[in-house]
Amino acid sequence: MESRRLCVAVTGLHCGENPAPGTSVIRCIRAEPAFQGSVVGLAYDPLDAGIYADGLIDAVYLLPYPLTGLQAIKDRLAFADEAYKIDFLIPTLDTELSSFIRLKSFLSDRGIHTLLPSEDAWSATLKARLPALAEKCSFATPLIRPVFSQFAASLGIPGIHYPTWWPPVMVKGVFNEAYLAFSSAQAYVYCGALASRWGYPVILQEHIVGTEYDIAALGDGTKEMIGCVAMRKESISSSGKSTSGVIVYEEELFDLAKRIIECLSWNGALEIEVIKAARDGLWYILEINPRFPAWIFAAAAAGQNLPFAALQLAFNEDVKPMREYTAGMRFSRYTSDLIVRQPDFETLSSSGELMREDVNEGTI
Amino acid sequence: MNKINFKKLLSVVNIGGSDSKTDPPHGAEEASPDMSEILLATRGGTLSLEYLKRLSISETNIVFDPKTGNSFYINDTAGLILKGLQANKSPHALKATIAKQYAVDSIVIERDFLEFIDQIKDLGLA
Repeated sequence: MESRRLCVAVTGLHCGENPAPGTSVIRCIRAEPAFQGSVVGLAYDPLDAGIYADGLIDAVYLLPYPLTGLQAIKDRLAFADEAYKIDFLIPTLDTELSSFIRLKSFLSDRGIHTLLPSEDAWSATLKARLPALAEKCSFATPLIRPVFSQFAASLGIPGIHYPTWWPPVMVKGVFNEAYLAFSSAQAYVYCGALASRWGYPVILQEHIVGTEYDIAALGDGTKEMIGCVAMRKESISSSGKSTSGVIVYEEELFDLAKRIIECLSWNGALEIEVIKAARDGLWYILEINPRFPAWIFAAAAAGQNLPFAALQLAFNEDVKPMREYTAGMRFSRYTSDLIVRQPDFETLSSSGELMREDVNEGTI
Repeated sequence: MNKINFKKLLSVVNIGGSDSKTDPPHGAEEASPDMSEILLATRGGTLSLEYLKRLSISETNIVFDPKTGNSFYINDTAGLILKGLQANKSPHALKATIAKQYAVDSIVIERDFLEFIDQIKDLGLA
């Protein structure tokens, strides 16, 4: 790592019921003794709790939402960069990835390093395109049907759903959230709710009963898998997010991640949600997300600090592929109330930036 | 006393080697075979000592399977057998240890041992 103090900017600081991965990514970076730099938080809302967590962030800048357009994001990033020279940027939200991929050259021109997939690779991982990717990379996936209206959602998936036979189906937002619909009417309602939050298409996915696993991996853009950690979900929230899990060591999951990284020449972070079906014992990929998962700190605690490896890769350091880690490490997510001083909230809300002075080093 | 029908329930194999057998040795179905140097596989499968060795067994007898993330509680006798197998002890030696510690008839130990091996295979632990 360069001797100078690097500044890492991380997005995704929301920590509510469905926490974004940003704070976990920062904890990973901070936990690495070789990292002596600073961390800038890029938040979308002054109420994002990660902003106020102790020991994580040196300064916070508010970003405009991705829908505002690229120019607004550019202007804001330039402002943050001028104020707090940023060396490396890690986006952690599905909704912003396409913007940051398109801003790669802008960021690069400003000396801001990133580790992002190509636009083609990123678009291949979109939920609606999973079946095509499954064919290309030779993995199994549940039947999927993207729909563009509530009525279409109420019809279910051809071949599975009939007027008199409606097995449960997962109704997924294009970027986030998923609900299990047990009837045509429920699918109709969930589709409307998800479309209002995330837009269309809404994805209907065959519901497979089994044990759910999650993989966090890192590719270097040359078909090499730098690291990979697998986790079995122990409990899941109502919106489908794992709230506790245990790190496992399963070669078949590594092979799956390696195949996708090779197939797409993936550059950067990757999350792969997998289910081992009770019906046939096969692995089915449910979803691929182009970012670190929110449980990534557990992967670092198990022995593979993937966010820090991403930082090293971005600075062309020689990072050896990591294979080993300790299975059996568990994580359990908890929520707590952070006390926020009114002046901090006012400063961030009015000026869009906040300097934190009480940062301490995190530890594993 | 119950007689165990080995041929019906179990096949007998060598453990860990490439020369594993799937058929019972001659006379296995006749009364009690000498189980000292062999391990048992059930329903046509093989007991994987390599897999068994990956299991983590705590002092409080919790078995953790790093491949699946499953955890199991086992009793002291089961712990003794699993830890013994991981340490390459022969089934014969393990059964002798159990007989010494618990003063149980050898046929009962034999039966329980087989049932336990069957159970850990059913649970995907070996």
